[in-house]
Amino acid sequence: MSGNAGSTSPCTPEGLGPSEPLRVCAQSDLLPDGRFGREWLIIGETKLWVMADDGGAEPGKLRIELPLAELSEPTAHALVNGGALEVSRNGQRIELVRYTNARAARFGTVAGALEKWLQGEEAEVPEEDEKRCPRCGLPLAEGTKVCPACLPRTQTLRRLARYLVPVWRPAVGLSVMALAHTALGLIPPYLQKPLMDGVLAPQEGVRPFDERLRLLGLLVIALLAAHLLMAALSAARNWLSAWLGNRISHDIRVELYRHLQFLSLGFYDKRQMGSVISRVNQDTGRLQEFLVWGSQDLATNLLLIVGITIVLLVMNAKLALFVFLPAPIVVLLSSTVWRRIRSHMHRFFHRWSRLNAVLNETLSGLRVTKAFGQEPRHIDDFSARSMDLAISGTGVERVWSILFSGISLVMMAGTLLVWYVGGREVLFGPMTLGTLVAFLTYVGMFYEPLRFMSMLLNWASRSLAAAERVFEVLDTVPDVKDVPEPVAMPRMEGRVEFRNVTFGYEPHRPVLKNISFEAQPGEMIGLVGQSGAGKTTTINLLCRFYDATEGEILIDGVPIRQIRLEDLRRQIGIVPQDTFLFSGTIAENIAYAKPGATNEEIIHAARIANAHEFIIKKPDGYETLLGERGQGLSAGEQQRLAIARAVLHDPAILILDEATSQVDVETEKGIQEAIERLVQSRTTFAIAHRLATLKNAHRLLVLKEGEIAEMGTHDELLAAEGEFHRLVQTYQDISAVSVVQR
Amino acid sequence: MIDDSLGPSAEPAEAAPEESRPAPEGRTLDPAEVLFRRETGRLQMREGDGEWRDVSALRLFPLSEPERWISVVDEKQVEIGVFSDLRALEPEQRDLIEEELRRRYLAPAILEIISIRHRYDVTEWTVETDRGPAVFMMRSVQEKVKEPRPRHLILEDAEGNRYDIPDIEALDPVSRRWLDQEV
Ligand SMILES: Nc1ncnc2c1ncn2[C@@H]1O[C@H](COP(=O)(O)OP(=O)(O)OP(=O)(O)O)[C@@H](O)[C@H]1O
Ligand SMILES: [Mg+2]
Repeated sequence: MSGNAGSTSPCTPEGLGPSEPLRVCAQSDLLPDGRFGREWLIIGETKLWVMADDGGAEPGKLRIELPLAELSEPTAHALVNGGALEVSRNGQRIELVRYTNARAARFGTVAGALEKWLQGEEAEVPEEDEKRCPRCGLPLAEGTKVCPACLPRTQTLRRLARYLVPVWRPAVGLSVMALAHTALGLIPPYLQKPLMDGVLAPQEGVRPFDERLRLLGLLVIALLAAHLLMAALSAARNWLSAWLGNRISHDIRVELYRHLQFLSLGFYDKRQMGSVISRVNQDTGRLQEFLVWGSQDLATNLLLIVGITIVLLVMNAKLALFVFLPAPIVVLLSSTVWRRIRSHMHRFFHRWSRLNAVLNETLSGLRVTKAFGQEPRHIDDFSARSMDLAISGTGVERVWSILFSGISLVMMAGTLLVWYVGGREVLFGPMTLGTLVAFLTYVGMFYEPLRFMSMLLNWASRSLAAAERVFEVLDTVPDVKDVPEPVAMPRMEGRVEFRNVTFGYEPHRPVLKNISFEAQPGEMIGLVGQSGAGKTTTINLLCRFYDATEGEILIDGVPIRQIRLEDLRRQIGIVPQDTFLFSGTIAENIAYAKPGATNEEIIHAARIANAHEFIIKKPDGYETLLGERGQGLSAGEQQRLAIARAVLHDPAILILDEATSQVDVETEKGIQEAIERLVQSRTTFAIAHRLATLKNAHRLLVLKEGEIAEMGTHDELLAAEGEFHRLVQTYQDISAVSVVQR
Repeated sequence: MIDDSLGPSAEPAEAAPEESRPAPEGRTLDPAEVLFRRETGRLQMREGDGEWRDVSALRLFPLSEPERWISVVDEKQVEIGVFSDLRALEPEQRDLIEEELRRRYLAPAILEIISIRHRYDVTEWTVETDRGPAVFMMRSVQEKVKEPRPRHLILEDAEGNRYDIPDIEALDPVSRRWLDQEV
C-alpha cells in the first residue's frame, strides 16, 4: 500500500491526556476488521494507545488505551500476508493492531522493544528506514538508492553512451559511413531525371543524337559508380557494426556477470534464476542491437526524411504536398498498431522464458520423472506450452502483417495520387516525364523512414527498459559488502561470539531469535536441533552470507561486518549441507579454494577425508573428469571431496554442516579420527542429526525453533534432562551417544 | 508401533511427560464432537474430555479449496485435527472458524482493476479489493505474477504483499483488458 505516511500523523502526545514522553509511534495499514486503513500504535512511558484514522485531516480518535503496568506477553503474530500485534491483560488476549507484510518488520521490532519495556529494560526502536525513493515516493528495489522513475531518461542514455567511449573511433567511422551511404542513396533517383529528359525522351531537338548516346553512357557509369560505392559502404558498415556490437555486448555481459558473482545470496533468494540468466543474455543482446543499430538508424532515417523532403519540395512543391498527405496516417497507424504489437511481443517473450524454464527443470529432474514413469505428462505439458508459444508467435505475425499491408496500402494511395496529379502535369504542362519518375522513386523512399521513425519510439523505449533492467542489477549494492575501512585479519585465532543475534530471510519472519553464545579457539561446537531449527542459518550468518538483522557476531573480538570479507572467507572453510562440485577433475575440485595446491597437498587432504581409497579405484585417479554438479560419483563420495576441499583450504574456523550424513558409519569414523587430529588448532562447528557424529564435540548447542534451548557439554545436557535429553531419547540412539564422553 | 485408530485421541500407552504426539496419519475431526468457544480473546476447543485453550484454524488448500480441509492447531502450531468440510459445522460454530480464518488470511482479492499506470519498470495498480480500495506498486510484473492454477493469479507487490485474482474470467471486461496488457 502506498499510504502517504507522515502527512497527518497523530504521533504527538497532545490530546492524550497528561502528556508523557512517547517511546514509539508506529503506523499500521489494516483496520481491526481486516480492511485497508490506518491506525497508530503509540507507546509512552506508562501507557499505550491505538488511534484510529477517522478519515479526516485530524489525527483521529482513540480506540484503545491501556496501562503498560497491566500488560504482558506482547507478540507479533505472523499471519498470511501480514500480522497482528497482541498483548495479554489479566489473562485476556487483546489484539492491538493488524498490518500487512509492508509493516510486519516494523511491528516485529516494536513487539520486541515492548517486551523489554514491560520488563523494565531499556530498548531502542530505530527510526523507520523507508524503502522509498525520497523524491517520488515510489518503493525502491532492494539495495538501490534512486528509483528508476526518478532517473531521467537522458541519464540512462548517457550511461549507455559510455559503453561507446572506448570504441569511439570505429563508432564515429560507422556513423560517417551510415550517413554517406544514405546520402549516396539519394543520388540514383536524381540521375533518373536527366536520363529520361535529356537522353531517352527529350523534348524536341534539344540535343544531337551522338551527345545523347554519350550522355547515356556517362549516366549509366555514374549510376554504376554510385551503386558500387553503396555496396562497398554497406558491406563495410555491416562488418563494422557486427564487430562493434559484439565487442560492446561482450563488455556489458562481463560487467554484469562480474557483478552477479559479487551479489549476496539474499539477491538470489528473491529471484528466479531464469530471469537473472535472461538479463545476462537477452537484455544485453537487446542493448547491443540498440546501441549499434539504433543510433545509426536514427541518424540515417532522419537524414533521409529531411533530404527527401527538401528534394521533393525543390523538384515540385505542389506535388510534394500530395506526398505528405498520407504521412500523418502512416505515423498514426503504425504507432497505434505498435502498442498492440508490444503486448503481443511481451506475451511471446514471456512464454519463451516459461518454456525454457520447463525445459530446464524437467530435463534436470529426468531421473525422478523416469522413476515415477511421468514422461507422458511432461511431454503433454511441454507440448501445451510450445503450442501456446506457437499461437502467440502467430499472433505477433498476424498483427505485423496487418500493419504492413495497411501501411503499404496507404502509401500506395499516396503514390497513386502522385501518379494521377503528376501524370496530368506531364500531359498538360510544365512537368517532364523524368521529373515524375524521379519524384515517384523518392516518394517510395520517403515512407520507409517514416514508418521506421514511428516504430523507433517503441523500440527505443523497449531497449531503454532492457538497459534499465541491466543497470538495476548493476546498481544493486550487495547486502553483504566491505565497510569503507575494513579490518584486515590475515590470521585469526578463531574465537567466535554471537551477541543477541536475530535474523530472518524475510525481515518479517525471524528464523533465529536472540542467539548468544561463545566458542573458544580450538573448540569444537556441535549444533543440534530438529530439522528447520536454524542450524544452517546460524552457519550462514557466521560465513556472512547474510547479515544479522539485529545483534552482532564477533570473531576474535572484531564484529564480522568490520572484517575484510576476503580475509573472513579465506579463514572459514565450510562443507555445506548440499554438496556442490563443479565439472572438472577430482583434483581441481579438491583444490578449488587453493588453485596452486601441489599434488601432495591434494592427496593429503583426500586422505583426511577418506576419499583417497575410492579415488584410486577410478581409472584416471585424481584426474577423473566429473560431469556437471559432480555427476559420476556417489553422494557419499561427493561429500568426501567436499570435506577434502575444506581441509585443503586450511581454515581457522571449520564448518561441517551434515558433512558426513551420506557416508557409512565406518567411513565416518575414519573421517572423524582424521578430522580430530586436524581440528585441534581450529574452531570447529559441526552439525549432525546422527548424534554419534558429534562425539568429539566439546560442547553442544541445542537449537529449537530458532532459539537456543540449551548449551553445555554432553554430560551436562543429559543430566539436565532437557531438549537434548529428549532428542537423544527420540533418536533411540543412546548406545551410540553414550560414547560421547570427554 | 503404529497407532492406526482414527478415533478421538486414543491414549498413548505410556504417556510422554508433556504433549502427546499426534497420530502419524492425522486425525479427522468430527463436527458433531467438537465445540468451539471464543473466550478471553482466544479461540478454545473442547472435544470429549480434551480441552484446548488457544487454537487457531488454517487452510490446507487455501487457493483451491478455502472451505474444505481446515486444520485446527494448538498454540504451538501442532495439529489437533482436520475438518474435511466446514459446511458440516453448525452455523455459529462455523462462524467462529471463519472469523478465525479471516483473521489469519490477510491477502486481499482483487475485484476490479481501475487502472494500471507505467512509470518505468514500476507499475502502479489502482484496484478495488474485498478489503477496500488499494493502490500498489509492482516491479518486474512478469516475474511477480504467479499462476498457481489456471486462471488464478497471485500478484506480489514491491513491499512483499500479495494480491489474489481467484478467477480472471470472473473479472469485468475493462479489468480484463487492463490485465491482458500486463500479463
Ligand atoms: N533461503 C531461505 N529463505 C527463506 N526461508 C528459509 C531459507 N532457508 C531456510 N529457511 C527457513 O529457515 C528455517 C531454518 O532453516 P535452516 O536451514 O537453518 O534449518 P536447519 O536447522 O539447518 O535444518 P536441517 O536440519 O533440515 O538442515 C526453516 O524454517 C527454513 O524453512
Ligand atoms: Mg541445515
